[in-house]
Formats: sequence, C-alpha cells, structure tokens
Amino acid sequence: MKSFLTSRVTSTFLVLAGAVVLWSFVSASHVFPPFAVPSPIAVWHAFISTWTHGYLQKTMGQDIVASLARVTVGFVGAVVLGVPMGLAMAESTIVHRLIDPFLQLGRPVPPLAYIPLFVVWFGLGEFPKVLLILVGTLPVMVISTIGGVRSVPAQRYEVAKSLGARRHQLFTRVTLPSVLPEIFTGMRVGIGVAWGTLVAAELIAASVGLGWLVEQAANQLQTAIVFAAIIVIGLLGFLMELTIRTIERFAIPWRGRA
Amino acid sequence: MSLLSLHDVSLRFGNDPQRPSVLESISLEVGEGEFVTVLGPSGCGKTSLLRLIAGFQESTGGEIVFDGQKVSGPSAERVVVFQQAGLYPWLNLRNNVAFGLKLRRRKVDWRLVEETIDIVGLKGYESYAPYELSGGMQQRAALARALVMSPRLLLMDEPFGALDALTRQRMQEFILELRERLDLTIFFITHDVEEAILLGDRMLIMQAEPGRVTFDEDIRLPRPRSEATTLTPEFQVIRQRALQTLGRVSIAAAGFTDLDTALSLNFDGSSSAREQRA
Ligand SMILES: Nc1ncnc2c1ncn2[C@@H]1O[C@H](COP(=O)(O)OP(=O)(O)O)[C@@H](O)[C@H]1O
Ligand SMILES: [Mg+2]
Repeated sequence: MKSFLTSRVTSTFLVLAGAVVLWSFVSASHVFPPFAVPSPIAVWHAFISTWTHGYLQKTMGQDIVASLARVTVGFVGAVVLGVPMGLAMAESTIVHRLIDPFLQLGRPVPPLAYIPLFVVWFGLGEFPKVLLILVGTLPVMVISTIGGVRSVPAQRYEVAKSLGARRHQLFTRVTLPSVLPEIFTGMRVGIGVAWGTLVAAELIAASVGLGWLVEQAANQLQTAIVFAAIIVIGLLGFLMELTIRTIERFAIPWRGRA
Repeated sequence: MSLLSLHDVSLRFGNDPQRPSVLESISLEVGEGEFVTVLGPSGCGKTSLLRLIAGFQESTGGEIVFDGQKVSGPSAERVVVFQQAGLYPWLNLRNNVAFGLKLRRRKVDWRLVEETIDIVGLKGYESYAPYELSGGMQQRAALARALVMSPRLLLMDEPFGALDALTRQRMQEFILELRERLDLTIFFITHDVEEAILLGDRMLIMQAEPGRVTFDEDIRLPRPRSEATTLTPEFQVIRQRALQTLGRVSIAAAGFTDLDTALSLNFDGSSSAREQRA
C-alpha cells in the first residue's frame, strides 16, 4: 500500500516535471510567439507579480479567496439540497415525477446560458454567481444520490425486514448508510463541475476571482497570467478533491471492501 | 399444534399460464423444536418456499400459518439466515449482532449480545468490521444476529453454500453442537445431501417444475452426531435412498435417461467434490 502510494506520487511528479521540460523546449524554440506560449519562467514571474503586486488592483490571494468562497458555498449548497432531493425522489414516485422533468431539461443546458436570466433576476452581486455554481452542480448530486439508493443490494433490506424493521427504519438504518459511497462519488465529480462553472459565474460583472482574472488577462493578451491562473484553478480543484477523498476514507472505510 | 403449517401452498410468477408454477400444492407441518432440512435440484423452488415462510412474498394459493396466525409479512419470530452473510459493513460485529434488538427499543441488552457472540465462538472479535472477518466468521456473525432475537423459527437458505469445504464441515459440527445446547426450530435449505442428513431430524426432498415435496422422512440417526456419523452404515443407507430419490428428480428435471449418469452427478449438474472423494 505504502510503496504503491509513493510510486504513484513519484510517477505523477515525473509526468508533470516532464511536461514542464517539454513546455520549456516548445516555448524556447519560438515556433509559437511568446504571447501564445509563454515560458514556464515567465508564468512563474507572472504568478509572483500577481501574488505580490496584484493585477488590476487585485492580488492573486484575493482572487483565490473570492473564488474558493464562491465554489465552496455553491458546492456545499448543491450537496445540502441535492442529497435530500435525490433521497426524496428515490423514495417517492410522486416527488420523482414532479422534479425529474426539470432535472432532465435543465441538465443539458450549459450554465453560461443562465447568466442573462440570473443577472435580470438577482443583479450583479455574489448571489447569482454562487447560485450558478449551485445550479451547475446540483444535478450531479441528485443523480448520484438516486443512483445510490437504487443500487442498494436487496438483501440488505431483507435482512432488516426479517429482523423486524419498519419502513422508516429501513430508510434510516439501511438506505442512508448504504448511499454514502455514491454520495461521495457524486461529491468528487461535483467539485470538478463546480470549479468548471466558476469561470462562467465570474463572467457576471465580477471584479475579483480566478475566473475573472483569466478573462481579464486574456483580453489584454497577458497569456502568462492566464497560464498562472489556470494552474492555480487546477491545483485548488485537485486539493478540494483530495480533501473529499480524505474525509471519505474516514467516513466509509468499508468502500470497495464490502 | 404444530408451529408452522402450510396448506396447499402454491406460487406462480406472472400471468403466463404456459409457465409451470414454481410451487404447487405444498402441504407441510413443522413442529416446535424440529430441525427440517430441505434438498432439491437447483431451481426447484427451495428459496421461493423459504421466502413465502419468511413473509417476503405472498403465495398465490393456499395459506401459511405460523403459531396460529396467517403469515402476512416478515417478522423477527421467523428470522432468515442467507447464503451471503449480508452483515452491514458500516457496523462492527457487536453492532451487527445488536441490529435487530436496536430496531425494537433504544436500550439494548448488551449482555445478551456479548453472550450470543460468545455462543457462536466470536468472543474477542466484537469490534471487528465485517470485512475483517473470514467467510466462516461472517456466517457465524449472521447466525448470532438471528439468534439474539430468540426467533421461534430459524430459516436458513444454503447458509454454508458459499464456504469452502473445510469451513463448511466446521460449521456443520458447530450447528450440531448449537442444536444440543439451544432449543431451536430450524428450516434449513441445502444442496448438499450429506449435510441434509447429518443435520436434520427430518429431510424433505423437492422436485422441480412444478416444485413439490416428493420425499418427507424422519432421519433416525442417534444424537449427538458429528462428522463421524457420516461414516456409519445407517447414514450410508439414508444417503443412498436420498441419492436415488434425487436421481429420479434430476432425471425428470435435466432430461437424463441414464440413471447411472444422473446418480454420479450432483443434482445441480456438477459432480460434487464429496462424491468424488467417496
Ligand atoms: N421473482 C421471480 N420472478 C420470476 N421467477 C422467479 C422469481 N424468483 C424465482 N423464480 C423462479 O422460480 C424457480 C425457483 O427458484 P428458486 O426458488 O430460487 O429455486 P432454488 O432455490 O431451489 O434453486 C426458478 O425457476 C426461478 O426462475
Ligand atoms: Mg436457492
């Protein structure tokens, strides 16, 4: 287990290091102009300068805090609403019939498309941005929760019934613990979706945030800053996924073993 | 009055009249304290019969009376032990065993839980997670989870079917000992002829399509029994009769014309390791 983990960490590191080396060669060869492919050094400098002096009056730290806050609130909102919605839909045909059409219709719509509406309804503040992330992530949580309930092995219910469980006990003692693994899978997918929606959310008249930074820097052909912001988004998304995975290990140690 | 009685019970899935009934006119009485084993070819309806008695499913004909009352759903008086232990992975052994007691009331008699864990020989493993236990230990835990409810009837569906030969043999001896110590009524399904004879006070053999009970006799082997009992001539006589009955049943089920072929095969079509050893 230990050597497997270390070797995986090592291989990831080697792959990334290789990519940086390749990237250096490509940018040094000047096949592409520097504004299209800045060198790793230039990106590092852009990062440091944005971190210490800021870009358009906002430092990288402020952008990170703003984006982390939006993603976290939107994501947590999607989990807090999505899991009970999924449970209710799986348990009740009526609830399922009421909600499912909206879910099916809403799912293929890219979050970008909601922006004009949200601006008209909710203005330009933080609420429409967070709401957009929530709306983008919600279906993932609902669908994985429903899937979790549907895939509970029938025998788990029969064992409980045979020991005298009533209906509500089947739900609390069997369904709830049984869906946990699928909820965690949903959260791991969902956190990616939430970050994906962020850039769209920060198109709504934002003045700070990583998505806003990407957008502004791109408009001014500051590609090195765009690169730096993208890498930071990737790292933050990865760190949040890692956090969820760590919680998962403690919350459901039986995953994959039963 | 018997603890369990089945009157002309039948079961049919779907509305297609072309399909044979899964069970047809099964009538049966099981007395308090009896250990009934049920043998039959694969697909003859053993599990279906057990599920009717458990109350998981309603029969399409006849009635099932348990302790003077018509069976209309599952109850902790008739606890089922399945082939797969089915322990809850989020609970440790102690809490798995206490599961049924917790459903009844908030306060659990933990002494009873500890005692039952001791009875099935798992003392010291109370805090283990199910996936930390071997297959045989898991099955003992599942048995403890059932026993702790003091069920009037224990329904067991091939409980040792998923275990390796050696563990199965140990579990059989364990059940025999348990039977000497506790006053249990057991309805025990198996596809192992020797297991059925060794454990049962009485053995039923079922035939398929439609599922019926074609053999129902007391097994008059002295108790206490052990694996050594399987070597006695009395045991072998019963075994031969069972195999012959099963042979006829299997011929009917599998379309065999040759009795010898049918007899050399186990009734699910595979030739069993036990047969080869014998
Ligand atoms: N839910 C069901 N729907 C339709 N047919 C079923 C169902 N359950 C069992 N059967 C049929 O009933 C027959 C008996 O099955 P089962 O009771 O599992 O046999 P056994 O336990 O003896 O192997 C089989 O032919 C099977 O296909
Ligand atoms: Mg079966």
